[in-house]
Amino acid sequence: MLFLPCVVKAQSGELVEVRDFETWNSVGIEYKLNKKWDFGLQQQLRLENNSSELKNYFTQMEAQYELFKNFKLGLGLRYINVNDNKGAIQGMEQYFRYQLDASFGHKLKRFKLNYRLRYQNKRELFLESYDVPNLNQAWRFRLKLDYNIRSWKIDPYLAGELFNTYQDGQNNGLTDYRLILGANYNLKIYGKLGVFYGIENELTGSYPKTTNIVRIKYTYILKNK
Amino acid sequence: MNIVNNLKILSAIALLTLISCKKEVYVEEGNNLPDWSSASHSNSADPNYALIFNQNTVQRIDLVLSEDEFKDMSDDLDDLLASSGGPGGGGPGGGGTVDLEEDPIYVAADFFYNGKQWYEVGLRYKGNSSLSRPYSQGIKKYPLRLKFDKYEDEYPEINNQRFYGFKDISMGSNFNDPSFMREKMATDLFREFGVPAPQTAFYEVWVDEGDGIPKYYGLYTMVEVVFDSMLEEMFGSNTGNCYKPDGDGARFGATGFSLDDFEKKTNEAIADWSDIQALYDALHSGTRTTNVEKWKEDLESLFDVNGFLKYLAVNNTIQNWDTYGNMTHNYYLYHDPADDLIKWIPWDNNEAFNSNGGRYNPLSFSMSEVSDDWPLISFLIEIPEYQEIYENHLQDFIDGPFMTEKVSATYSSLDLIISTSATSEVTDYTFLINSGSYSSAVSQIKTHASQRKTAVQAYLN
Repeated sequence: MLFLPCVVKAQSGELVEVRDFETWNSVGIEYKLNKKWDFGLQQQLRLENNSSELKNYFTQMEAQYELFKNFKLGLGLRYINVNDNKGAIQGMEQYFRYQLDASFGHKLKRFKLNYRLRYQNKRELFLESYDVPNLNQAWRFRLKLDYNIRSWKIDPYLAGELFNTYQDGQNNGLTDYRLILGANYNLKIYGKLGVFYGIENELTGSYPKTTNIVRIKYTYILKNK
Repeated sequence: MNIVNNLKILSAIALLTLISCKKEVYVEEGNNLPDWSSASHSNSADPNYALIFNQNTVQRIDLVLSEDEFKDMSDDLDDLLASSGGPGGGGPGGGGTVDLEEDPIYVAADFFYNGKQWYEVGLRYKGNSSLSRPYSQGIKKYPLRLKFDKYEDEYPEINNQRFYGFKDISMGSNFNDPSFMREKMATDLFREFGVPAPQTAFYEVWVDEGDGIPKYYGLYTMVEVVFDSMLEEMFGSNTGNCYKPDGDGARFGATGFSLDDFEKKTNEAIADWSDIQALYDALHSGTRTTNVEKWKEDLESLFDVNGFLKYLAVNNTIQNWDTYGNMTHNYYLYHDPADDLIKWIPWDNNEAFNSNGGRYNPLSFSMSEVSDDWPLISFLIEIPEYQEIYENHLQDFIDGPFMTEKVSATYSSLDLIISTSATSEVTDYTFLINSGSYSSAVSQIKTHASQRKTAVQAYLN
């Protein structure tokens, strides 16, 4: 019922998708080993086409190390199952992605600013020997602004991120940006619940696509006693 | 109050949903593209061979890149050749090969022909030795590949863009061929003798690398791409499996055979290589030594043996060494639905008409030196009936398409058409060593024709 207004009248000829609504659903666990090290594991499911169709699902392992105060280095490994539903060859495809992060944060009264530079490298797995490797690399820069509301469990944040992508046969360079408005809810011993609404816009092509995203993420937090 | 608040929240959700939900727009082909027309740009037009593969003149194409696009292509080529062990490779006559780990990248170029523009055309470098050798010598005349609908996802208004009916075009640089005629003559001779082969035509290629000044990249040979238009033109269909073998498996030998080396160029979505496996099984069947008639019958039910023997007759006469028998690539296979036979299609013939100077020796007429690593030759040619058919084809070839006077007249005619474009090539964009290289090569290729006729006669006698 929620998406009844989204029904688009079918037309003949070539239809180009310029907007979609996706939902990302994630559960994860975080383990804080000590003041320096954090580890995480999450499973995420993404739906596209007005959130009616599988886009992908993945498992991601992360590690973060605080090199010095407020400056962290991170590594993430992601195994992705992608539902390729376009073109002549369709079906589930497997990808591996790794990402390297460097982030710096500082506080300004009740605000917390965080800058993150990420390099990510994604490659398709299990290709035939003659297949062209589908390599996608990107540099991403994110600026995030958190606000701590006094005596309230919900902390809202705003974030903006630029994607500088390199992929064979595609438009390269500054290809996308993403804006996010989100909030985290502290469930105390039960972990935390995060929700965001995001808009991701393509910057290339003659009919750039806008993707609207709602993400719900539950994380259980383990602490080293 | 609660009802009002709930209504506000529901309204906000409904509004958000409405502005977030999926939206599609209808985009017509050629929308806002002034030069777009059905005949020249649309998928609905039949390939216009008379215009694009005009045999009587040298035509011109212009490619326009931005500085960034040209830099991307150049940087990628640097990286690829470095990661493939560096440019160069050994071998007399510049026949060294470097197998690139992957194809060079595409960029979106604007393409001009006869005053018309084609939009966001996929352009990349192609080739192995024809790419790596010039690179190592500082010569920038690289073979090119064009794909007219490569960027249709990013630019839906160019959906199914075609170049007068052609989706893909290969531009051979005439590497290692100072006569510029080898690729064209070889494919024309194959076709004239009944061996399926692509059409070719001469083009001047001019490239604006982003500085607004077109550079003359030289005289190229445009070659029809096998799995684009040629299958339908030659066989009347493109619904059969078309393969581009490359790698050890392409030998069909008892060791190293792998279906992974048979890249599908049609029917890619269907993971079925059973026809290639069946051909391999038939070729290596024990009946070859125990019941040769059965072996022949089984093989001929799968493979166009006569077509292959025809191909061998032409290929050995024109001394085309850079293919099966020496190299594990430079041919296609097409499983023709019309008669259910797999057919041989030669590809990349710029090393033909050259009795020496290649990295490998051309095969002899008897092919007795060919080992069982290349069973399509060695197994077939030891069958007396097949050898007789092959030798008859040799005779027919020199009495027909390769008649000395006829071939010599064709060379003279081509000379008239291309000499100005060939000798106008400029430093860093030419394989000609000096001003006399071209005319000397034309004389040599004419002499080669008469020598090869004599050689065929000597072998048959």
